[in-house]
Amino acid sequence: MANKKKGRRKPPPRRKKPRSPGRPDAPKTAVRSDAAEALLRRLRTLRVLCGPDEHPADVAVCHPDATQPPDPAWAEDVDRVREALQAVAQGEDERSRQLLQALPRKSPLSPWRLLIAGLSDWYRGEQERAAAAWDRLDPQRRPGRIAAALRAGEAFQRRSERATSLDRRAALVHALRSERPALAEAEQATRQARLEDVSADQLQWFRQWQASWSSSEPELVKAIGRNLLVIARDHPDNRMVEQLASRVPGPAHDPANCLRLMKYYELFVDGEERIAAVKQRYLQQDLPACRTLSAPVKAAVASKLHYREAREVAGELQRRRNFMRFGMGRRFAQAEQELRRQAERGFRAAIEAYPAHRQAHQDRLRLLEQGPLSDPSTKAAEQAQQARVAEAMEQWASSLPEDIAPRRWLVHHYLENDRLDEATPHVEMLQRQRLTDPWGRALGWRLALFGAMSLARRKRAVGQAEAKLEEASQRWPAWLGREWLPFLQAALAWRAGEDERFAALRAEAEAAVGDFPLLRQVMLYAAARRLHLPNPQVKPLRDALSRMLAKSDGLAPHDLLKTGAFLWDLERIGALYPGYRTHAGTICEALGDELAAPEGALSAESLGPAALWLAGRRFGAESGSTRVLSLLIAQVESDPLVAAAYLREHAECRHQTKPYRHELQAFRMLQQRADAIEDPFYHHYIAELLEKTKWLDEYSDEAPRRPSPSWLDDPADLEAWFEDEENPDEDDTPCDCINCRRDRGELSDKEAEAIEEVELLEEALADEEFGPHPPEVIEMVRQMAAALGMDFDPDLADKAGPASSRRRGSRPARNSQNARSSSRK
Amino acid sequence: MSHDPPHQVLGIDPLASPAEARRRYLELVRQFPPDRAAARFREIHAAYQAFTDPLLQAETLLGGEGEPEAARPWKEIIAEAAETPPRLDVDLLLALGNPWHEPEEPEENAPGER
Repeated sequence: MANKKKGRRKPPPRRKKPRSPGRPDAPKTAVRSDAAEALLRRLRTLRVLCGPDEHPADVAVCHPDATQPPDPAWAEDVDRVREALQAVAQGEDERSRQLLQALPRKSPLSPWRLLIAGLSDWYRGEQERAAAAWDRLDPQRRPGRIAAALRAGEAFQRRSERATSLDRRAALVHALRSERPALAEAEQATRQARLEDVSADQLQWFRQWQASWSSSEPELVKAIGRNLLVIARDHPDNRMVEQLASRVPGPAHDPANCLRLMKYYELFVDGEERIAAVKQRYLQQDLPACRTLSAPVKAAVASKLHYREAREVAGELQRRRNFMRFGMGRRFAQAEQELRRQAERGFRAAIEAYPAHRQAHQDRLRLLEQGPLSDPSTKAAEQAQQARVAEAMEQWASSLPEDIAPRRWLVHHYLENDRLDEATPHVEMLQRQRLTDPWGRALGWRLALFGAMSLARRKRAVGQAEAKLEEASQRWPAWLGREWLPFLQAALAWRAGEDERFAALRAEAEAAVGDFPLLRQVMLYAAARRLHLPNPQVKPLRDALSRMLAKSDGLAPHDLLKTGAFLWDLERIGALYPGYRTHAGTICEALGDELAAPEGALSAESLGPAALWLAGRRFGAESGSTRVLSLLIAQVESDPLVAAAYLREHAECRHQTKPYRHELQAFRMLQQRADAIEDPFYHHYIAELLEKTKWLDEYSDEAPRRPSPSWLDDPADLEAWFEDEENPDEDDTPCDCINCRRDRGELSDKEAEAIEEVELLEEALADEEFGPHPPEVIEMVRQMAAALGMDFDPDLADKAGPASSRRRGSRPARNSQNARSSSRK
Repeated sequence: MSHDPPHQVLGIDPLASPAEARRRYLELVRQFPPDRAAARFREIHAAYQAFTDPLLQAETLLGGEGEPEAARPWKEIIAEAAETPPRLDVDLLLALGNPWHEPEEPEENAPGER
């Protein structure tokens, strides 16, 4: 209704503003108790005062900077006493006791030892023990007066008449230790605060409360502050955490809470710079200044910090490699290089900080051995990589001299590369360790064999080479065939220019091997190359071998098999077959063709040693070896060496987290039969392989292959449906979908490989730990699956994220501007 | 298992040498042998291993990489603090030993007085 008087409309009735239910109340500490105020006033005005009759030793303890102790010998004792007082105030009773052990009994400062010893007991509630020490104190000296005040404080009762000095001090002790107004204030404030929130009001309260009580209740202030820090982590305003971190004292090695801030900034997409700044402060300032950690522990802390960061970068690198592996990641190549450099830098920094950090050495080597995907597969690139790995292994061996793994690798590497002088110290070190495995016990033999190979470089030294070869012959391990030895002897004769002796020895060697022309040729060629025969002598052998392999379909199956087994023996010796880039691929393909032939001649043979060689992946035909091993699946159950080959093949392929087909089968089979293997080399080899692949033990037997099509719950149902012979009216026409054809073994090799690739990619996309993934990647995988007629899991489309990458589990960048402005302060 | 720093569990200086740590460890093992005080022995053994392995200690100091730390209930913190009265700081302790006849404060009620 309008206001008639003034011609204005009457305003509508106002409603009361509703009380907001969500806003946490500010802690109600507006009214501090009188007792608390009095206590704080007293604390503010309290001074350490010395009387004119004070013992000089006591004066020195009270005012160490102001006075010179009469006796210079006291200076050290005074420092010790003060440090001991500080230690006991911080709860380090044992340290205080040790500090005072050096105090002479007759020192004028010895009453302080009694006081501090009693103080430790008194704080722990052992009043009788404290009393036993304090009863011996001179009441006229300061330690005696302190003890008296503390004991009076324990038994304090308020009196109405005028208090004495002792009463007042007792009251002070009682108020601090029993009444504890700080605790009451904290209890009141926290009772009203919601656990899940930290507001500006609460921060204000904490600031004021901390300022009042930090010196008299340091542990309580720390505990409250730390809890607020944890709660503030989820607060949208990052200044909350930063302000709290600067106020709440952190642990002794991290007083500024740098580690906590580092974890906090990980939540930010743009947090890298801040993490780096805080990390630098911690490593260069706070950690070195910490007096309660020994130098080795500080070094280990720094090392662990670098290591964790490097490992995270290496994990990111691995995720990108999973996509690059299938030719999808030209754009990632540059990023891969940068990530690799970062990870390598991190691991190096970890090792530099604490050289005995074994895990850092191992992970660094894993990174180096992997090599960049963008590196060409050339000999030069491989050699460069090996050089980097060797350097890292040397660093590991020198940092942890008792470790066997790096030295074994270095022995193998140096012998392989004809660097005997560099191998010898490692061999000697390993021999001192008295290794019991076959490889370790054969070290002396290997040194002799490779010594002969190295000496054969010079024609003048061939005599010495023969002597070395004879030494190797004497020490030849029982688990290795000796067929190659005569070829080495023949090649040495040829190196010496003794053609007739060469021809005779060659004929003997070939007769001993039998009617296997390819094997004989390969053995002779390998011997000639390893003994550094000149090219005019080697070329005819190479050409003959190439001619043989050009007509590989004419090669006898058993000849191929034995050649494969010999190449495996070379690998066992640690002598890479010289023609691995040229001949080995052809041999592998030819062997594969033979195995694939229906009712082939090799079906009943033990293919173990050749299979182990095929699994080595030391040559370019990697896809060839995979194909060959897939043909040996039928023998996985029956032949432990084929099972070992299958495991070896996939042991290094850890770009997926589930087992390959039949990998688990091979693992279980070897587990059962490992102990029964009598050959000492294979017994040890398989034990090591099982140890390396023990992660497979966690998987169930249902894991080996991916699940059936979504309309079936259980893979077994599919088989049961087709096997239902009781109902002849059922349509017997087999399903022609790709999964059913795979189950029936009707897929071609190419189809099988393509399916495996897509399954691998889908697994990487589905992994909950990583992602989100770029949408273009998901679309590409969907198209690949569609081309093969495979179902694409629609849930995977939900894993798409923005095109740029984010930190794992990160939230959107928040308050970046605020953070920048606060960081400028 | 104890969450105290290893040197505190063993009762040694944090900067003690490995030989001192071992001596103390053997002393404690004699006091708390595994057959008579299994839990305490395990604690001492773990503390000794951590103390002599700087990397283990470092791992403890840096905290785990797993789930972020959860906030504790305030009641729990207050109750825990209530069980342990604070230790007095050095200056306050020394001031408790001021000569009895020195004037310490104005003639107002001291804490505890009405």
